[in-house]
Amino acid sequence: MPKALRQLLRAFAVLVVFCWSAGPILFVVSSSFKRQLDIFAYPPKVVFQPTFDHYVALWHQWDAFLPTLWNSVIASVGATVLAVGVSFLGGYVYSRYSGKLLAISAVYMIAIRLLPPIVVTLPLFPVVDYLGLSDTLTVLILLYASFWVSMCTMIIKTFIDEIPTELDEAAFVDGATHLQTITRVILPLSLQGMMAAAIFVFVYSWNEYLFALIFTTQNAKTAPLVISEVMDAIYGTDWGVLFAGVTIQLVPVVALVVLGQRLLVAGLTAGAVKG
Amino acid sequence: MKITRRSALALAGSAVGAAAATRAAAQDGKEVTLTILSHKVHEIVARGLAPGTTGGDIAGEWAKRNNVKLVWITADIDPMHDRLLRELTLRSTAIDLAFVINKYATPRMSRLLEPLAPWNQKEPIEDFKGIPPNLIASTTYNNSLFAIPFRHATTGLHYNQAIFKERGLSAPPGTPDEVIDYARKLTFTRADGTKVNGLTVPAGAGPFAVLSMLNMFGAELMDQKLNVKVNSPEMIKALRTVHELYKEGVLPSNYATLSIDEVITSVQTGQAAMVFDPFARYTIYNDPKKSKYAGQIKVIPIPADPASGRKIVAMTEIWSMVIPKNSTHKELAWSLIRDLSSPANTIRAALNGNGPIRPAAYNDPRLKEKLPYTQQEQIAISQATTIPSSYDASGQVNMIFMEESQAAVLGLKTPEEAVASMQKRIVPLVKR
Repeated sequence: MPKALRQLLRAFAVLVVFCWSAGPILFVVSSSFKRQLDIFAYPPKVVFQPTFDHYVALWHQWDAFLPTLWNSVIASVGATVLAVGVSFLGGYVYSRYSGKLLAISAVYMIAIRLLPPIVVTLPLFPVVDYLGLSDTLTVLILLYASFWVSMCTMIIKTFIDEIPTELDEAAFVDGATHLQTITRVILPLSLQGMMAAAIFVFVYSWNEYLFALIFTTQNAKTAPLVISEVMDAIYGTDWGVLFAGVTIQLVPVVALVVLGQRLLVAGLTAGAVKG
Repeated sequence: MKITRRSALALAGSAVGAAAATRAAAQDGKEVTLTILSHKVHEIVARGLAPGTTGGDIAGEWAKRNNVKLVWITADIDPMHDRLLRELTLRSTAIDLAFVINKYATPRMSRLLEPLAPWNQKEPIEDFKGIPPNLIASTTYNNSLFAIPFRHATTGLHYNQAIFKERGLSAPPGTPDEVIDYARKLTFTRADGTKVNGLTVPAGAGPFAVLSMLNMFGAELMDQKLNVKVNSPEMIKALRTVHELYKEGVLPSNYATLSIDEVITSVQTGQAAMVFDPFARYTIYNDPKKSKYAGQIKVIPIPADPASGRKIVAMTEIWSMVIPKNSTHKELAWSLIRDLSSPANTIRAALNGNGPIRPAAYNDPRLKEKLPYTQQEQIAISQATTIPSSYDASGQVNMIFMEESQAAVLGLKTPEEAVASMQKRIVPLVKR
């Protein structure tokens, strides 16, 4: 096959993949700046006079959106920190130690991850209410973190596996305690894996709907609940306002992934055992 | 949990104590918080939040008079009922008042709600007899009134006058046969490639709109005495006709999953010429900011088969106000229910876009002037029936109806097979 044709086919394949993955996002973002009448115009309007009307309407008609967005930030950051922190310690143990009990617990952790979340909500609802945790961010942080601890532990474990045990031994020989070895040697070298795990937890928590719907009413309500209300079954969806809300909701996740990419691709362990 | 005499007495005592504390707090001038669980639409009509409406803030005025802070928890229809059911099963709930749609108001739910007849005897709703007895009957099980109707959504036939003109039709259809005939004539592809469907219906959103369409041919799911009537020649004829419309492309190709949103958008963009939908959608279909055909979408009651002896058919959904048995501010909740149900406030809520449950409200000149569709709606509501839900398996039956009727429309089963299967599956659930 001629080189030019090969390059053309490759470019076409890249274009198809780009349209497939970015098309819906571009549609949502661009529609948030279109007049309502132009959103579903046929043929679609690619060139249009942008308007911020939908963002203004979101501000006025859905005044709960911004406070709930803040709740989403707290719940997502809290869950991410908790899940990654716990998972790091778990990952370290699974990586550096072995035994029957550990093997069983690893299988158990993965097995419970397979449970559909809705199953857990039924018995949990009265318990959460009894504990006075209903409509608090604490319950969301605990639930989101719990659901991801098993997966994050395994992700971080595979990263810690890559860190040569000689580094631990070198630290012990130099007089470091166990805690010092973990915090000063293992932790910095596991950052890549922790970041990958953090992105998973954050994105999940940021978009999570079911737990937020069941366990919050007002004080801890998160942004996805307000967005779901905009998708109204009585008056019909205000598409422009919905797309404006979704665009705002998208920003932190996209920013996190873009920023996190640097950490994800950096080879932190490169050359660690040289010399 | 085992209920002992001691625990029952303790529960009753705490309820009385809580009620006394609420009243005392209100009398002391301390602001009490009353939490309402509803769909956003109820907050909008009770508070006059929709731009251009003139009914004012009814709930806000009541709250000010009673030194109460109102907290509205709103969610879409299914999630809010799911939430309510969970709250009702707790020892006590923060929800003081909730709005319930009739399809969810089953006897099982009613047992978890405060009986309202004693409250109405003690402090009666003004002109209680002005609320139609059939609506009161739909919120009464075993002689116990558990909810007060607040809003109705009654189906009509919306049609796009501009598309009618484009296709040479000058007047809306007057019979079911004309509806079908017009739907075929109104199905075409524009020069720019846009497909126009002659008829659409939010078939993926539940049985309400679909039954409204089938009802036109005299078909019904069950009568008000819970006699299941799906296995009827009318239902077979109706499903066969709808199947033919689907095959011909008169109905959208994604008929089975059509959501309310998609239907609204297709009407607003001129991709659907006729739709079976509640009258109140008139406002959004004719909203100049959202609709390409503002001012040209009209609505009429659904024509009935002349052989039935009726002129029109209509189905309605009723939203009612309830007080959870395990709530703490029952007295205040009842006070708000009384206020929202009064004749004057029924009209004010209607001016805010609510479907008024008092027929007398339709005679108000302000309503006639502001919302022209309400005159047609008044005709429809006088003939409207609900999908009965006075049995616990109501939700399950609705799902079976959807599954089987869609199988018939899509051609996966013959109408005869679908109705036979429906009858077989539904009867035991209703009789249980």
